[in-house]
Amino acid sequence: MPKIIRDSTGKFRQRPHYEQGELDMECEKIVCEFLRSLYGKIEFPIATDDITKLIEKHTSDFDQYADLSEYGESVEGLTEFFPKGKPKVSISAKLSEASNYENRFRTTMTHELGHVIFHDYLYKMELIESGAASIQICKRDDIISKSKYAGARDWMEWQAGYACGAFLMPASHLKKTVDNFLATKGADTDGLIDAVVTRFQVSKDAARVRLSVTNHLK
Amino acid sequence: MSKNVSFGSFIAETRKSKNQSQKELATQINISPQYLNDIEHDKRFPSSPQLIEQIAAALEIGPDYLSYLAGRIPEEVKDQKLDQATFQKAMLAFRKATGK
Repeated sequence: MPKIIRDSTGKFRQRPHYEQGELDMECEKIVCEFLRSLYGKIEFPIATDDITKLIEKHTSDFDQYADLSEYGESVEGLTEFFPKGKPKVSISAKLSEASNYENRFRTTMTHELGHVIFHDYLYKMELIESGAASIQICKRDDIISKSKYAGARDWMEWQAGYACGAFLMPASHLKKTVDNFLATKGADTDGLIDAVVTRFQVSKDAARVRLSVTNHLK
Repeated sequence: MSKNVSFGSFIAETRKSKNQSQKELATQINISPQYLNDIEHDKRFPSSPQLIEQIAAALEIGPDYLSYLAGRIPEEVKDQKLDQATFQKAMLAFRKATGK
């Protein structure tokens, strides 16, 4: 269970404070149970198509080819929260239509899934009084959280960014990849990043950040 | 009476209940995932009755109800906002009565 602390951003009265291990555990449980329900086994990388199924399982509506231009050039995903029912996720068609953006499509989808899983109940408590919907808009630079103190606009974006990496590269599977690499190839940072890129179908940037926040990169 | 179920949302919900992705269904009926996404979000409509039949066959549902949701049924019937089960019964009764 996360600690509940005061929200200094003013968005909510209180907010959950998750330790990284808590986010890791929850994300791994969600993605592994889902893969097992589909295939009876867990294999990585998770297919892009399976990520869409996972999002559909947790949302009332998922628009993979949305026109988000009204929110600004750099907005690539958003999650709409409602007083009742599941949230709605929209991903910019710019990402889903272009094959060379597949990794960005994958990270944006899992980032929004982070908002859905970890923040829906907060909005529910907040919106139940007003009866209105609320939108969390996610810009390109916030999708992968660099650290707790940089690269994310606020704690919500940091949590969703961390969850993005934890869904695509679950902690125990990442550790196995790192251990195997170190045992066979030794300490080679670039090589390790490439091994994670290949194993989990993520960008070098996403792999580097995930290895860094999980203390696998010195 | 059904809730306000639309042509697109009915397809999306039926597809999801079969654990099928948009891409998988689109491939099965030979249209682009973008086109199916637009259909499911009621931004576009199937271009032909054949496509409605293809979607119905792929989702293993009767094409009549999909045609009904697509508005290819007389307005006075459409306005009744029937759910799938009630509609199928009505169609059966209609076919018995008319011999069609």
